[in-house]
Amino acid sequence: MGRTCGLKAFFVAATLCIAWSPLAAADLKTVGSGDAMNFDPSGFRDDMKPKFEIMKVKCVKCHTMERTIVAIKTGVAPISGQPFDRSATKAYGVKMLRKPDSEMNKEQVKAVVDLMNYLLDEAAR
Amino acid sequence: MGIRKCSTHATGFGAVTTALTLLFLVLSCFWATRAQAIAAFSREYKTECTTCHTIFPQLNEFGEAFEKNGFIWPGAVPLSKKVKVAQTEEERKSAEFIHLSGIPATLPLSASLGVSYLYDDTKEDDFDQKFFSAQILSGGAFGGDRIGFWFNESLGNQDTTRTNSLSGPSQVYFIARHPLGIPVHLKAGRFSPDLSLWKTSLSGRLISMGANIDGFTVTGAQSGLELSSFLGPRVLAVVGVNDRNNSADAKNPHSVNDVYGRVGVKIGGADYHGKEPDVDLDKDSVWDYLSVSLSAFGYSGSSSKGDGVDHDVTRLGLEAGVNYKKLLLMFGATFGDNDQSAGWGVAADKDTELKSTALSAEVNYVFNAKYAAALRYDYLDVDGKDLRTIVTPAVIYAPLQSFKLRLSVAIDSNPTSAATDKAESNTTASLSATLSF
Repeated sequence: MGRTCGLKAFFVAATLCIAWSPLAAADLKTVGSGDAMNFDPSGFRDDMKPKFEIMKVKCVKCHTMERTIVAIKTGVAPISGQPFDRSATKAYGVKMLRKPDSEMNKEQVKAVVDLMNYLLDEAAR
Repeated sequence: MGIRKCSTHATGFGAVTTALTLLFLVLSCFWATRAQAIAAFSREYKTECTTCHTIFPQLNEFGEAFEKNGFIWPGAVPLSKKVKVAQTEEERKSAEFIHLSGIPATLPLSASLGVSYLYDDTKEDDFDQKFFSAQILSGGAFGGDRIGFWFNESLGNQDTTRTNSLSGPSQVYFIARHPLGIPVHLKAGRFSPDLSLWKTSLSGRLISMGANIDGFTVTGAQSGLELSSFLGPRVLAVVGVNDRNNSADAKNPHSVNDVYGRVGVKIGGADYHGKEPDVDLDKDSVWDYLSVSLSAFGYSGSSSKGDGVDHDVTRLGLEAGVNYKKLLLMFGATFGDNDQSAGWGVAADKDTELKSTALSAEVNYVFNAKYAAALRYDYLDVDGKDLRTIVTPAVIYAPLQSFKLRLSVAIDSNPTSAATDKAESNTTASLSATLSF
């Protein structure tokens, strides 16, 4: 009896996990839409929240946050169509570091790259 | 009679230009996906102008890589195959017929309109100089991104300092990327030879590349074939042959083939494929921001006076560019030799060799996407005489990525009396507005 209950509990838990997984992948919370779309940082890990403060100011200086959100959620850079993975986040970070009017220093770029990697992991969960 | 004819021509031309301009303005409203005025590549790739330009038309590192790769986004999924990575339902629907048809995703047309007001201290009415121009441009790729193309043509210009006239033709060419699997790009059509590190600078074109000596300049667009190949990610080799009329006499054209070649090397910065350098985000290095570009070219051609006798023309040139953060330094030197050439006060006889030296240096500083400044120094020495030195400061304000104002001043030591030793300095100033969309 106890064994049956244990199995039931396992199957229920497993079913919930499986059912929850796709939601979790798409559950990188955002607010707004289109050009006003942005990440909802309320669910971010605490050490990522200060990094988001940098991202939300610097990234939207030249493009919408929607571009970043689409890349992270789909794993595909929307303009180039190239995979948007950890090596891509570093490459884009370096590109922004070297972009003359980005006004980003290495520390800020590193923070944003760390955050994008964290968000990629979250999106993939 | 002649005046009436000219007037009729100008009126007709003006009406055509106005109609075409209005047409483009109206059409652009339909083409543009946003209210912002953007150009063809920007529309095609759905990205902003500053992806490829500092302030248009000057290219940044990525823009150079894009251009050198035959107008293909380096390393990107081919646009015609974007059905695989379409983000929206609309893109998915449109991507299939684009893929099957082998056409660019958007109608790749752009226009550039310019208005300039000039000051010239040698003119009686110093400020009564105006210049209007309109140009259409097109570029992109098709056929699975195997073929790139470029087209630009002037719709005409009205230069009130001279006789009204149509300018052009400009450039039309295709670029076959890796034809038959061979790692070269083959350019065919009418184009300006790829002999320089820079297509343009913030203050125009360096005289080291664009100098016209005895009616000949290497930058002139000609029909030709050009092969370019990346020898690794940071070396570019170019060889080409063009077919041009070398006769100075319009009534007696003489077709010849000129040959040229260039080698360019880039140290630091993004490579020729647009790949960013491997920067260590935990450690500082001067190469994080520094890039150095070097280039050398040679050109061998000929000129004639309409008598069918070819006179050798050669050019050898060196260029160097140093880019550090917002600063770009450009240096150019071209050494020329026009055999048995008349003009510039030199008699045409068998022993004449018209040697020329053109030197340029320019510094560009891009404060941000809106403000930039440039200072250029040009020196042109023909036949051992210091004929011209030109100092050109310029400031640029671009309130939009598609619209800019430029104020420049050119202090020219001797712009008109090239045939004499007499220096007649001339100062001109220009305030120009340009819209590209």
